[in-house]
Parts: sequence; structure tokens; C-alpha cells
Amino acid sequence: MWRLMPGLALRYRTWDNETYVLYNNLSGDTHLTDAAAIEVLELLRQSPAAARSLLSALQLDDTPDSLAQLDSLLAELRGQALIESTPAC
Amino acid sequence: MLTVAHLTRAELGARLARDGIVLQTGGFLVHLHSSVPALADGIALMYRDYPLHPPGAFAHFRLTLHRPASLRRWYRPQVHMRFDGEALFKPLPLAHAFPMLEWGLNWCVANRAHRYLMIHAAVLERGGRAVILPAPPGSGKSTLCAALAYRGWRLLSDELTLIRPEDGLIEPVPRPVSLKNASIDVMRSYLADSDHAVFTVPVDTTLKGLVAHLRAPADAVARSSESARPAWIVFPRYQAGAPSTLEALPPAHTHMDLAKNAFNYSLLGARGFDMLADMVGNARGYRYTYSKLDEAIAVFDQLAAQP
Repeated sequence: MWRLMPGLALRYRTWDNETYVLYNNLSGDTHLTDAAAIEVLELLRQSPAAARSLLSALQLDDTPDSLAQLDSLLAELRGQALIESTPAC
Repeated sequence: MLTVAHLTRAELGARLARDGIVLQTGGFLVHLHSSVPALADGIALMYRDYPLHPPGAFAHFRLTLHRPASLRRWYRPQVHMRFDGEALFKPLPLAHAFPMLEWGLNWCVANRAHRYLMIHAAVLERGGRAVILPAPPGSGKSTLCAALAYRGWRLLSDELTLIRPEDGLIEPVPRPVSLKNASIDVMRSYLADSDHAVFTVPVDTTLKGLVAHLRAPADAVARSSESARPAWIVFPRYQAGAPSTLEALPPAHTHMDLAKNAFNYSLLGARGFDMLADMVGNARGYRYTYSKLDEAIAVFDQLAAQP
């Protein structure tokens, strides 16, 4: 299960719905990111979710390739201290 | 309002040494106290058009530049600078007194004026709209800024872009333009036909190489209470022999690059993010490479003609 970092305000802007700037109020960093990352973060804002649930919510096929891409994105978001995996899983 | 020009050089030197002077640059009042003649010379030459307030008036910053009472008063004489009584930089050779004052004034604003979002960028205005030129040293920012300031654009600042939180407008703080090394002769030659372009004698500093200052145009000083709306954000780069090339920069990239040039973006937190994003959303971003000032002026004239 993945969830937003507790206390993350999820503040972002876009001017073309493709490239986004995202402010992390916990680290003070600003990240250049894309629509897929924002979509995942918005889903996790609603509730914690497992990777397969995220695939489904994103309307992606449950294939090894899709899962690998999502895992890579989740790892990137974790590296930016935007999300964390919950101890329950 | 009394200005520096109303005082003779002797009166200015005497006031500086006795009670100090309170000089207004943009929205800032600075109390300066010094008995260093080279500093009074620099102020008389570069700050001629700036208002002076009574010595006891409120000042945002208090700077003292003095010669030490030690042997260094005579042997390779130095100048020390104090900000609110505390040493600000390492002592420098006496001949560096005026550049030291300029660096000190920049330091005061950049480290104290956190009510603004502050970007390390030159900024100029035309028709109420401002062009912001953020760039690291060596990019030709100040050279371009100096040329524009004497070719139809109003100088708001060559170092400090101050964005007001309440309305997103840029507050001017026009001061002398700092020129370094080859750009000094470039600008002397470029502005040779202007009677109003006045330069200080270049000083050879170990820190930044050869440094000279160009007086801010009188009109820019007189209109320093007129704020401007950010309209263009242009990242300039001088490259010898390069053709004049203006490339649009997507807003998100403009935001990221601008944040890297801000003094207090991180300090302001979410407010800084929102202010920067609001500004980027209402301005056009570009990268600009140039080698010839006349070509650059033509490009900026085209920007000014945009609706």
C-alpha cells in the first residue's frame, strides 16, 4: 500500500496539462513533473492504495510492463519524499 | 526634496563623515557613515539624482565604511564595512570602497527585504510592462541591462527584482549598473554618444576582476516609485559570434529556472511558490542568445511591441 506523506499539501500548477510544477511543503523542494505523477498523487490523496489498485484506477492494463512503469513512477515519488509505503503491507 | 546634487563635494564629504547621510534608493532608506574620500567621490558621481533625508530620519539599513585605526591605515590601506555595527565583509583595499558599498547595499536588500519575493535578475520597464533578466554571472545580463536602460527601457534594477506579495507588481530599486571586465569598454563604446552615461573609474578587484559602475539614468531614479507588471522573463546568454536567437520557454520550465535564481524562494515556502507561479502564468518566458547589442535591442523592441 502506498500513501501520501502525512502532512503533504499537494500544491501544484500547470499551464498545458502536460508538465507540472509541484511544491513539496514538507521538504521545501519544487519538482518538475508530469500528468501521470499528478494523477497518482491525486488518487493517493483520496485514499492509500496498492500498486494494482492504482493500475486499475488509472485504467491501465494489468500487464508486467504497465506494473513495472508504475513501480518506477512510485519509486521516483518516494525518492522525492512525496509518498511512502505503509507498514501494513 | 534635497538630492545629492544639491550638495557640493565638500559638503557631501563633511556630512558623510560627521553624522552620515540618509540616502533613498527605491523604497529603501540607507544611513551611510564614512570618512573615506573615494566613497564620497563615488556617491557624488553615481547617486547625484537620489533623494537625501535628514540624518536622523528612519533608515532600513545602516552602513559604515571606515579605515582602521591600525597600521593598515597607512600600509596598503584598507576599508572596513559594518552593517548595523557588525562587520559585513572582509576588509578590502581602500580603492574598493565604492564597489564595496554597492555589494553591501545588495547584501542588505537580498538578506533583509523578505517581504518581497526577490530574484537575482536585472529588470526593466516599458509601457508599464517589465522584462525580467535572470542569469548567473558571466551571462552578459548587466551588459544587456545597461544597453537597454539607455535605449528606451526604464531601469528598475540590474541585480534585484523585487516582487510585491500583495499585487505581484515589481517594485523598482534603481541603482548604478555593475559592469565587469570586457563589458566596461564594450559599454563605454556603445554609449559614447550619450552625454548622460557616466562611469566610475574601473577598480581591479581580486573577487570579481575589473569592476566599474554606470550611473542609472535620471528618469529611472525620478520614477522609482512607479511599479511595473511582469510581462516577460528572458534568460539571456552572451555567446561570442552567436546569432540573435529568441526561443520560447514553457511556463513550467520558466518557473523552475526562475526559482533557481531567487534569493528567498525557499524561505517564503508555499507563498513563494504561489507568487512565482502567478507571475509565470501571466508572463512569457524565453531563452535568448546574443552577441551584438544592436540585435538584442531590436529583439527587445519587438517584445515591447507585443500586445
